[in-house]
Order: sequence, then structure tokens, then C-alpha cells
Amino acid sequence: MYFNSYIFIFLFIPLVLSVYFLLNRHHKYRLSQAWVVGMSLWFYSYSSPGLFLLIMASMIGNYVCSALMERCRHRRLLGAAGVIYDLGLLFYFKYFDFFITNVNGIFGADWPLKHVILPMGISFYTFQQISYIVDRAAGKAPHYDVLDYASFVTFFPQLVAGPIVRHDELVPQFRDEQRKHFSWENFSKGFVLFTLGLAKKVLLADILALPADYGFANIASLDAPAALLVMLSYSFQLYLDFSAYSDMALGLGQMMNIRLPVNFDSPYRSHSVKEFWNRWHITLGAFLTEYVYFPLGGSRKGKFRKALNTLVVFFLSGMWHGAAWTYILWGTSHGIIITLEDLLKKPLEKLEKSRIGSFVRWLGAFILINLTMVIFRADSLGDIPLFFEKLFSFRASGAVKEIAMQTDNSFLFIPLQLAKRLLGEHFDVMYLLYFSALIAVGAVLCRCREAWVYTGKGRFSKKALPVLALLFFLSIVSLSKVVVFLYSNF
Amino acid sequence: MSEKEHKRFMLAFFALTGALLVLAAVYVFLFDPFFHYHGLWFGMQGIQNKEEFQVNGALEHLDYDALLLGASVTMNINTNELDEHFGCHTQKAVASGAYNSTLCYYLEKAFRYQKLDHVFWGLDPDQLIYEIEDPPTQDQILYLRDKNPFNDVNYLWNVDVIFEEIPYAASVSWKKGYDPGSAYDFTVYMEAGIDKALETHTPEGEVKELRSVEGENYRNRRDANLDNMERLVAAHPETQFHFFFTVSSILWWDIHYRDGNYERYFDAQEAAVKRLAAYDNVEFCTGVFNDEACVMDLSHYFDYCHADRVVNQRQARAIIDRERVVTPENVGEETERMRRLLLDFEERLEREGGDWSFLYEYAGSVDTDG
Repeated sequence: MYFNSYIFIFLFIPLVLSVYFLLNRHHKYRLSQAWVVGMSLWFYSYSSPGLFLLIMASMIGNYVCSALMERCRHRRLLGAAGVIYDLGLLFYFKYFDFFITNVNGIFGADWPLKHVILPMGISFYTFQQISYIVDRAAGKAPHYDVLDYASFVTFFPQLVAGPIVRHDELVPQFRDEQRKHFSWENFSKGFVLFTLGLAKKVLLADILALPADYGFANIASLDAPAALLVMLSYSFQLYLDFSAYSDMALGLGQMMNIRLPVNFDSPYRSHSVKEFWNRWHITLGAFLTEYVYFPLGGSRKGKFRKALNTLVVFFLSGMWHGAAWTYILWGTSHGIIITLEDLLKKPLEKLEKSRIGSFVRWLGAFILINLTMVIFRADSLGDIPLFFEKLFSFRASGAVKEIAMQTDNSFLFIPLQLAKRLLGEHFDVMYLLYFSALIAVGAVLCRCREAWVYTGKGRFSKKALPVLALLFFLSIVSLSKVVVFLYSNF
Repeated sequence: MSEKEHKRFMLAFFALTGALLVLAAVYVFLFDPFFHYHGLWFGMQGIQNKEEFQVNGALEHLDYDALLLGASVTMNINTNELDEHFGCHTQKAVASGAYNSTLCYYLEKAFRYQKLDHVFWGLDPDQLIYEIEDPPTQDQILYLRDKNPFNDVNYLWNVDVIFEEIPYAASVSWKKGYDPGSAYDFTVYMEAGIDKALETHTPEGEVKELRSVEGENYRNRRDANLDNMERLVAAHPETQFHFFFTVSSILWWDIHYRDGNYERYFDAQEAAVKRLAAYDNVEFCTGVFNDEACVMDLSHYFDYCHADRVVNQRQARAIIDRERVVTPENVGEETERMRRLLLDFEERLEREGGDWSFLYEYAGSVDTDG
């Protein structure tokens, strides 16, 4: 089930919340927690019952491992077994075919592919459980009872596309009786955040996806301006899509008085790629820092080891995003850029001191992030040089019009009819205007503070009411074109 | 903001969005461009341009006493001439690449809601050998096909319906320029041409071995499809069935020459005639399916199989004029004529070393005066 679906909004949320708070009202806290676990499992396995078996297998394996640690002295060994179990599941479901394809390619073998369908959210709940098992092995986490553990893994707002939550961030909140009672303040803040996320997803990200998808599927037909706009479309689409999901997850948690960690903090305001990673998918960065970078020695073992550790972390980050060389190259490229930023730390900091210098740093980071997005989005390694060739050809052949026309959607129907009357055969200028507006809105939103900053203040004016209601209405009627969240596929 | 103010804000928010959603649902219900709830209100003309969304509702809620059944090659036939000649009002029940079971489902549905005087049934050669779908769901939108009121939200709160389908249907209806005979005609804004047709034809690989007409699976599928059709023909003696073999270009036949299926198509056509023509309320006509000009002149095709208005109207005229009525006795001659066309073409293609350009010789051979 997706957040952007009728069943989730009109059946699932009302049902979960009403029963949850009703049970809490009668002090049936354990029962209400079990209710949320049950509903979360329904949420996860709605599209395929096989997903239920998978997440149960994943949870049971980890839970048994944690239970054995209570009774056994070989905690580290058990921890290693738990991590291998988790990575084994992840490898099979996410990387098996990728591995076989590469083995076949390198050794000329003919091993058959399994064609395993990637289960949604597997990367997120696997990493969450790895963090728990590692903490358990290090003696930093208690053994939770079944209900608390199941709540930690399956809590529906963060199950499919994060944020990656640590057990000690979530379990104490489930146990806190103060959080069990309905609060209009939290509900309204949460619902408004959910609405803004939904609107970001269906009214902007899904429309920006149209020129981006078309552009990457037809690279040969692009010219330089079209390639630039396709690159920006995808960059904004990915940010709006993923941050929208995070907004919705945070909002849903808040409706239930559960605070989930922030996953985005205006990443496109960053002045360096390093800063970008402190603002983009923050919980993945935190996970990799704590469970990979620090154990490897972090920055404590000299500059060379630091650079190497950084590269390892970003190699893994790329691989986490998908089983393809494009993702690995993307992650590694970020690792290289961050290493270079570290080497040039002093002159870059000097540059930062003046306003112009600060702007130049922001622009440089923005350009680098966008260029590397091409690597992230490309359908194959071969497409990457082709795209850059078009981008840096400095030739314009009018391909922008074709790209702009891909934004065609029902909202444009009436304006287009009017444009046909007023502008005759030049009516298609409407597409260019609309596309420009979309890019401009995307750019402004990327520069703005996150929605959770706005809703966190909890001051909603009367003027905001019709705007929010209209956004919610337009989002709801747009659900008839369901497009899945990009990050649920990672 | 206090707890109370937050409560007031949220209640106002829900009231406002609730009102907007109710308004949207009422608006869609009243105009109902997919005929899901009712027929034509407010002077709407029943604009039909999206068969997968509209056929089900149209069969249930519009008025008609004749049906044109078929796949995409039948879809573009203008029904006006049929209506004029037979004194009927024809509704199209069509689907791209239609399975025979889908068409039978449409026909059964039409019989439930209307009394049909005529059924015009375009028989694609491959239609008869498709799998039977039970229940048939091909090309049909579930929330429009079933009677589940809950999934109607997909229709009532549908951005395309609200912002595009209704304004389009209303503007065309109220301009009074709509030709109902051209329903679902997807060729209106397209241009036909030999180059275009050849562009879409990219045969690959070797010519496969000719597939046997004795194959058990093939026979079972063919007979099951014919059983379905026969059941409907026998159950409705009051309805006149006009079956016609649809026309496709030589490029379409070339595909099936290469995949080894063409003899099965001829066999299925012959079996259909032998089985169904025995009924008094059935008439088969070859139409222009094996007319050399209509098959070979690609200047009247948009791609490897879809013909333009001229060829389609020739099809309609063939039904009206009872041009080449087929009987169990002469059906072999008709399929033999198409077989000859195909085999001669393939021979010529081989002689030309796989160069298709000789097809330009046929340009202009279709009689455009009708």
C-alpha cells in the first residue's frame, strides 16, 4: 500500500488512528500497540502476501538472534551471524541478479538469472535491524519484547521508504504513556505535513517525472538546453519525491504522537557535497557513519585512511540505492568529491567568508550534485557519456519544446484550449511556460526551508486553510494516476 | 495555537476539503462522460473516444439497436452508412487486439440492455484463435466494469475526468459538430502513407516453419471461440448477424507468413463460416479482406495493419452491398484468393532481394470514389 492511494488515506489512516486512540483511551496500551503492528503488516503486504512472509522471516531471524544474546556469551559471534543473515536476505532479493550478470559478463559464464522482484522497503528495514543487532552485540541495546521489536521494525510510516530509525529513538516512544492520547495539536501539525508532502509528490514530483523520464529515454534527441532542463527536472523530482515521502512519514508519526527523525534539511542549500550529505537522507548518512565509517577508523587514522573510509562509505551508499553500476559510480563520485573537498578545506573555507565566495561555493555544489544526478538516473553506464556529450555540446536545436510537451496533463487541458484560441498555432508556448513554472517552483522549494519547519511552529493562519484544502483536494483527485515513490524501490 | 484552535482548524479543513470532494463527485456523476451511471444528460452527445473506459457504460446506458463488434481494425469504420442503409442506430463495442471472448462479453451485455436488430462483427483472422478469457477483463477498467461502489472513487475523483474529459465532452457536444459514427476512430488526426506503414514493419529473423492446423491446442482454442459465438447466434434468432473478414495490409500478413501462423488464420476463417453460416440469421461477407488493391496499397495505411477512412468505408460498403457473400461452399475460394496474394507477394519480395520498394507500384490502386 502506498501513502498516495485512496485506500491508505480514506480507509487505512482513519481506521488505524481511531482504533489506536480508542484503545488507548481505555488504557489498553499493549493492545493498541499490537493493533498498529497488525495494521502495519497489512499495509506492507497489501500488494503481495509474499511480503508478509519476507518481513516476518527477517524479523524472526533478528529477534531470535537478539534473544540468544541474552543467554549466550558469544554476543559478537551472534551479532555477526545476525548481520550476515540480514545481508544475505538483502543480497538475495536485491543483488543476486546483479551479481550473476557481472559474473556471467566477466567469466563468460551462463548462470541463469533469478529475476527476483525487489520487495519494497527491504533496504530500509534491513538496515534498521542491522543497527539493532550491532548495538545488541556491543551491549548498547536491550532485548525488547516481541511487541516492542515488531513495532520498531514495522511501524508503517517509516516502513517502506524510511527514515531509517534507530531502536532507541522509537521504542521508548512506544512505551511512553504520555504519548498515547490524542492531541489535536499533533494531529493538525501531522496532517498538514502529510498534506504538504502529498501535494509535493503528486502535483510536482510526478509531473516533473514526465520530462525527466522522456529525456533519459531519448538522450539522442536532446540538445544542450534540453539536457540541462532534463537534468534539473530529475534532480528536483527526486528531491521532491523523497522529501515528500519523509514529510508524509513524519506527519503520520506526529498524528500518533511519535516523533520520527528528520531525513531532509533543505539539501540544495548546501555549500558543499559534504554538507549535502548532512542534509539529504540524513538517517542513511548517520547509519553509514556510525556502523561503517567509525568502525573503519573514521578520520582517526590519518588522511589516507580517512579518504579510503570515505570512499568505502560512499561506495556502499551508492550500492544501497540500487543493484547497478550507475548507483555505485554515483556513490563513489560523491566519495571522491568529498575527499577532494577535505583536501581543499582551507581555501574553500576562505572562499566561504565573502558573500560572492559563498554564492560561488553554493553554485559549485549545486552544479556538482546535479551533474552526478545524471549518473544516478542513467539507465546504463553507456548513457552517461552520451548525456554529458549532449549537455556540453552547447548546441540548441529546439529540443526543449519536445521536452516541455511531455509535461502535458489534465490540469493543462483548459489553459491549452484557451491558448489555441488566443495564440493559434503558437499555442504550444503554453507548454514552455508551464514547464518553466514547474522548474521555477521546484527551484524555489529546493531553496526553501523544509515543510516540517513550517508545520513544527504549529501556527496555521486562516489564510492557509483554503490553500491547504485546495492542495489536498487536487492531490486526492490526482491519485487516479498512481506513481510509486522512487525511494521505495531502493 | 491552543488545542482548541487546532481542533477548529482541522474541522474547518475537513469541512472544506469534504465539500470540494463532494462537489467533484456530483459534477462527475452529472456529466458522466464514461456513461457509468446514466445516459446523456444536459444535451451531451455521448462523445466516445476512449474505448477501454467507455464501451461498458455505453452498452449499458446509451440507446442503440445495432452493434459493431471488433478489434482496432474495425474501430475506425464509420457507422453512419450502416445506420442509413439498415435503418438502425449502431453502437461500437470495440477493443484494441480484442479477444473473441471480450467481444462475446460485450455482445451478451448489449443483449441484456437492448433489443438488437443487427450485429456487425469484424472478424480478425487472429481473433478466433486467442485464448478464452473468463471473465474477460481485456482492456477494461475494473472500476468501470464492476458494480462495486467503493472503487468508484477512481472515477468520481479522477483528475483526468474532472479537468479534461468533461470539459472536452461538453465543448464538443455543445458545439454540435460531433459525428457519432466516428466514435473511437483513432485515425482522425493521423496521416496514412507507404513510408509510415513500412516504418512500423520491422520483421526479424528467419521464416518459421508453417504451423499445423491440426495442432490440438490451436483446435481447442478455435472451437472454444466458435462455441461462444455460436451460443450467442443461436440464442438470438431475432437478430441479424453480419460477419465480415476485416482487412489488413500485406505487411500484417507478412508478419504471419514469417511466424508460420497464416494457414491457421485461413483455417479458422473457414471453420467460422462452416459453423455459423448454417444459421438463418447469419450472413458472412468477405468484404475487402482479400481485395488486392485494399491489401497491397499501403498509401491507405497508418502502420502495418490499420487502414484509413477510404478502405474502412469500402469495408462498410461491402457489408451493405452484400459484396462477395461467403458460404461454406465458397469460403475456400475466398481464403485461397488471400493465400495467393500473400504467397505471390513473398515470392516477389524474395526476387527483389528483400527490397520492399516494389510496394510503391500499388500506390493509388484503391478506388477512392468508393
